[in-house]
Amino acid sequence: MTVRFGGVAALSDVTFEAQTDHITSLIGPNGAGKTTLFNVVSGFLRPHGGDVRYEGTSILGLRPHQVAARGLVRTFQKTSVFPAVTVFENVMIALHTQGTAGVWDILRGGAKVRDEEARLTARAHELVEIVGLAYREGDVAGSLPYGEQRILEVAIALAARPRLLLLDEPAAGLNTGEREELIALIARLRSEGISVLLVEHDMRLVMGISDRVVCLDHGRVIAEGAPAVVRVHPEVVRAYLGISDGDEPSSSDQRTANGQALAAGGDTLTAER
Amino acid sequence: MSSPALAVGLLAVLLLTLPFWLRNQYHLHIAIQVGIFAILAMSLNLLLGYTGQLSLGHAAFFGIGGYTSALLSKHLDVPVMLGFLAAVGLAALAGYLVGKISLRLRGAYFVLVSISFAGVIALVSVNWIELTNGPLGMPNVAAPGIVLPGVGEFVFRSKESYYYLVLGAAAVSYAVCHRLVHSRFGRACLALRENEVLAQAVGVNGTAYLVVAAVTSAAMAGAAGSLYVHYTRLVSPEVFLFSYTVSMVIMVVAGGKGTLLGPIVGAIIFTILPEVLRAVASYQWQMLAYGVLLILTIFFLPRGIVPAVTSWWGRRRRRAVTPGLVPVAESERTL
Repeated sequence: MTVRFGGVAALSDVTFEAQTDHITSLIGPNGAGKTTLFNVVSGFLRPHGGDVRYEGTSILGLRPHQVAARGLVRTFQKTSVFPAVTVFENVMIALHTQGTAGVWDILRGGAKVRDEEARLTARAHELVEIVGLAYREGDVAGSLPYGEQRILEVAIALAARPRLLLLDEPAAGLNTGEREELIALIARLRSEGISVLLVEHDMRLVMGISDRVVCLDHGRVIAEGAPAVVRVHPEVVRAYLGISDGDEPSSSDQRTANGQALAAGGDTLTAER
Repeated sequence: MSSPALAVGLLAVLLLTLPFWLRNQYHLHIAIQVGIFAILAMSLNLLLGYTGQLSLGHAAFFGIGGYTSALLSKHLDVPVMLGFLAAVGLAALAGYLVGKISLRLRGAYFVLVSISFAGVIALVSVNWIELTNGPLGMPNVAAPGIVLPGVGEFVFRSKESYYYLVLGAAAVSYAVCHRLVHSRFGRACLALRENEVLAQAVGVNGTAYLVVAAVTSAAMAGAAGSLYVHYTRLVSPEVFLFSYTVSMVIMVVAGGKGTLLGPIVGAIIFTILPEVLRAVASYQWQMLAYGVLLILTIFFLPRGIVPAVTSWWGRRRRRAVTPGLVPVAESERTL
C-alpha cells in the first residue's frame, strides 16, 4: 500500500502479512508510518494505492464502522475512552456490534430486546472482570488513572469481539506492574484465538511476545521475520542507530539511544513519545 | 414500597388529579403550556443531550407539525387525530432531510443547516398566502375529537380535557425517550457524543444513528406543534419564531442536558417563571430577571439542575449510610 500526505510518501509500497493466531509487531522509529498503516487498515484513511485484504477479501474503501463489524478492531495511540460515562457503560457501548436491536424493536420493547440487553449486560460484566477493572465498574472513565484508562481501552476493543486486534502503543506510559498485566492479557488473547497486530516502542515487550516482527522505516518495510532475526538485522540496527550511508541526515541523540537499547536486546524506548 | 416508587406514584396522582384542584383556568392554561414545552424540550434533548448535536432550527419541526395538521383539518376536513399523525410524519421527514444533508459533517454544519432550514420554512409560511393566509395565519383551527364507540364524538374543547391530552402525549414522549436512551441505540448516541472516532472503531455507524436521532426528535417536535395549534385554535408564522428554539435550548441546558428529567424540570421552571414575573413586574424587568436567573443557574449549576440535585442527593445518602467510612477516593469522585 502507498499513502502520501502532500508530496511526502508516508507509506510507499508497504507489503506485509499478519497471520492468524499470531502476535505480529510493527516497529520502527517515529515517523516510520506505523500509525498511518493502522489508519489505513482500520478504514480511517484511504491509501493512494494498494490493497488491504482480510480473510481473503479486500476491505479497502470500507468505512471504519464496517471494518470493525468484520472483526478488525483497533485502539488508539492517544488514550481514547468515552470519558463522561462509567467503566461499565464504556464496555456496554463497545458491545454495539454484538447486538441487533433496531429503533423499532427498542420502541416496541418485548422479550427479544430484553434478552439481548441481559446478554450484553452479562458480557460487559465479564469483560470488565477479565481485564481486572471490576472494582472500577461504576466509576466515570475520565476519572481513572492513566494506566487503568489504557486497560479500559483494551476492554473496549475486546467488547467489539475482534478476530484481529490492532493495538497502537498500548504500553506507552504504563508502570511496571501495569505493563506485566498488559503482557499477560495480550498472551491470553492469542490463546483465545485473537490475532494481534501490535505497534509498540517497548522493545523488551515486543521481542518477548511477538511471533513475527515487521520493521518500518521511512514508509518502507526494511525487515521482517522472527524477533531474534529482526533484532540483529543490519537495516534495523541502522534505522535505530541512525547510521546513514551518506545522503540521510542522522545522529540524533534519541535515535542513537534507541539503537543502543535495541542492540542491547531491549531496554524500553519510551523516551520516543 | 421503596422511596423512588413512592415518589413516582405520588407524582402520577398529582398529575392525574391536577384539574380537580387547580380550578383556575389560567393556571390550567399554564399547565398545558408546560406539557407542550416539556415535549419540545425532551425532543431537543434527544439530539443535544444524547448525541451532542445542536439543532438551532428546532422551531421548524414544531411549526411544520402545527401547520400540517391545521391545514389538513381546515382545507381537507381531515380528522384532527389523523392530521396529528400526518404532522408527526411530515416533521419526521423534515428531520430526515435536514439530518441527511448535514449530519455527515455534523457539528457546526448541522447548526447552520438547521437554522437555515427553519428560516426557509418560516418564509414559506409567510409568503405562500393561498395556502397559509400569510402573516395573519388562520383562526378557527378545529379542536381535536375522538369518536367513542356507543357514546359519540368527544371533542377536547375544555382546558381540563386538553390537559389530559397533553399529559398523555408528554407521557408517551417520556416513555419513548426512556426506551431509546436505555438501549443499544442510546448508547450509540452517547458514544458519538463522547468520542466519535472511538465510536466508529467499535462499529457504530455515526451518520446513520445521528439521522435516526434527528428523525425521532423532529417527530416529537411535530407532535408538540400539532397539539399547540389545536389548543390555541390559531396557526400563524409565529410558530416558527426563533424564540421558541431559544426557550427549548434554555430548558434543556438549565434543566440538565443528557438526563431524562432535565428537560421536563427545565420546561416547568422556564414556562412558569415568565408568567410569575409578568404578574409582578413590567416587561423590561421581567426579561432582566429572567436573564439574571438563567445566568445564575448556568454559572452555579453548569451541568444543569437535575444532575446537580442528583449528585447532591447521592452525596447525602452515602454520608447517611456509612458515616465516616467513605474512602477518600470515593468521596472525591462525586465532587
